[in-house]
Amino acid sequence: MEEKKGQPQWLEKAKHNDMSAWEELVKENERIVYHIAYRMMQNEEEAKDISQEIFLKVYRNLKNFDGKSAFSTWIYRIAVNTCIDALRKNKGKQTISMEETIETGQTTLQHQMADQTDMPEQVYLIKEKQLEIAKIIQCLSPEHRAMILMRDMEDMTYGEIAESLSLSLGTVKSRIARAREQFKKEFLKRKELLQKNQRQKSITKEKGGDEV
Amino acid sequence: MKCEKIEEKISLYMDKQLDWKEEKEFINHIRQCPRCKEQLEQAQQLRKMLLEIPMEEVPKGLHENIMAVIEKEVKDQNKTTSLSSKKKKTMLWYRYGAIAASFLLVIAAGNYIYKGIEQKQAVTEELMEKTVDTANVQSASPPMQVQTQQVTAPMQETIEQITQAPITSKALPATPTEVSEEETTEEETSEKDAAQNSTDTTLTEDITTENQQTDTTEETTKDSNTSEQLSTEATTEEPVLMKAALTAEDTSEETQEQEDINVATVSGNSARSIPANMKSKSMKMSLKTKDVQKMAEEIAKKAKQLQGSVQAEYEQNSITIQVPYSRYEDALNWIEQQGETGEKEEVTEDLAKQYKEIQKQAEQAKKIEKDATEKGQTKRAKQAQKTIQEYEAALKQLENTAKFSTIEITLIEG
Repeated sequence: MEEKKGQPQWLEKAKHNDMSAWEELVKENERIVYHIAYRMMQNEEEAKDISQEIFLKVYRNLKNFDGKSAFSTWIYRIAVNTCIDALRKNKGKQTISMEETIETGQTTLQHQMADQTDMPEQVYLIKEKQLEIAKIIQCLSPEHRAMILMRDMEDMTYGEIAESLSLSLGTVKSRIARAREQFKKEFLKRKELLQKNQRQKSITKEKGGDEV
Repeated sequence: MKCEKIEEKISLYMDKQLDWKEEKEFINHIRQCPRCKEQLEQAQQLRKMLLEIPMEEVPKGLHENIMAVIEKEVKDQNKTTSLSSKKKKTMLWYRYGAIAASFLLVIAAGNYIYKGIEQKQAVTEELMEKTVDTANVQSASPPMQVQTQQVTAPMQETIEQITQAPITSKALPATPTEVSEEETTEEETSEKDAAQNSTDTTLTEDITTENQQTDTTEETTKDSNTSEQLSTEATTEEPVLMKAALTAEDTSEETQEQEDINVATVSGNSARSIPANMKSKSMKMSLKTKDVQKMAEEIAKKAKQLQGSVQAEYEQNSITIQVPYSRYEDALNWIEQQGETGEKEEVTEDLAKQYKEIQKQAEQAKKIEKDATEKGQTKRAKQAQKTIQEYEAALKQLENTAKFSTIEITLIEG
């Protein structure tokens, strides 16, 4: 019983299908769930769908939640695992769309940016950076995405990550290192591509200038 | 220290995961190696960049959508629970209906027969008054025959009204022994028809075979009776038994027949309709865990908790469990919660067609068996029996396959 001390009040009621308790459960956790879903999927629509799926899983498994870990750790695990599974499922689909994304640069974020032309420059730069990061994350494997999300975006400790994903500390250490390595590789690739594009642009500009 | 594995060292250094000795070595190396120093700086910048990303806003309507999904699930769950209890109730009604029908049948038949006896007694008494000669009693059989036929006809009607309940021999035990042998054939045909009308229903078959068994036992207890008595008594029995009784002189044959019938009863009772679920599911998956041995034990425990079992004990990093079909999703969800799962391979197979096919063949074998028993072809009947038993076993096996889903889990230490 001691383990249940720190658990939220609505937990027991929610287990008995009390809808007002569910209202609270969702309210308290939807932000973090959507956040995980968005960062893992890097797509708003998919993130919305996955968020619903995650809560459905929470509903179906709530009776199995034994309170040994914090509810937040438990829901985090369900959320990350659901996203990893979803990413694996549309692996093939993802690669195609990702390539297209890289070529055309069409992402939700970019659409947003195109709409807001009067955006202050700093905000614009942040958004642009976000867009770049999103593209890099899309190149990572589901497992590596989870590591980058948890350690470098959420700043979770190694112990928390190990508990959330039921991994050993050793695995977490090596996996984070590999994920970062992969992230850096993709980042440098992207940087190089951008620089190449910029060079090409300036060359055409120069040429154009000569002609005029 | 060399530049090897520097990425991992950088990562661990940034997160303060190196011990003091490793850290000292790392710092010394960075001081000397500009390339590694640059890499460290890059890694630190990237981490900073990632940490700075603000949290996304929850899109409008998401809360409502999530709640709608949960509410729907709650409703669906309630529906299925009430549906399953409804199903149970209907099943109970069928059962009660069947019991009620058989009672009604016994009462109805009993009534008619009782009347029949009374009338026959009246006729016999009348005749006895007229003549003392026993031959005259025999000559009185035609009117009696008419009466018995009248008895069977309305009885059949009642039976049909009650839904498919057969003319059971149980309903006719009180028939007087004076009935002549001529009637036997007449009654046999009418009863045969009635039996044929009702063979389609499993329920009916169950009752019939049950009664057959009881009557056979009853009959064997009457060993002291004369052969004449036996043959007349046979008119009250099902055609199958009648034959057996008529050839009662050969006692070994009789026991053989009885044995056959007993087996038939067993298989007859187990005749079933296609179960609601005939889908078999199997899953192969991997699961990463810290303590493989402990996880294997946990999985075995969970399988038992879900009313399942361990099909193959933990060996060479793999354990196979069986859980009831209805608990399959629960088991999967639970496994997913235990750690990171690898690629899943799920196979769903619908066994309904296969089941139907075997069931059809089993029915045919039953018909052959019945026919053979009726004709007194013991060998043929026995052979059919064997086939039926084989089919029944195959059906049972299929049912079990569908009842349980198999999950093979490869445990990976990590």
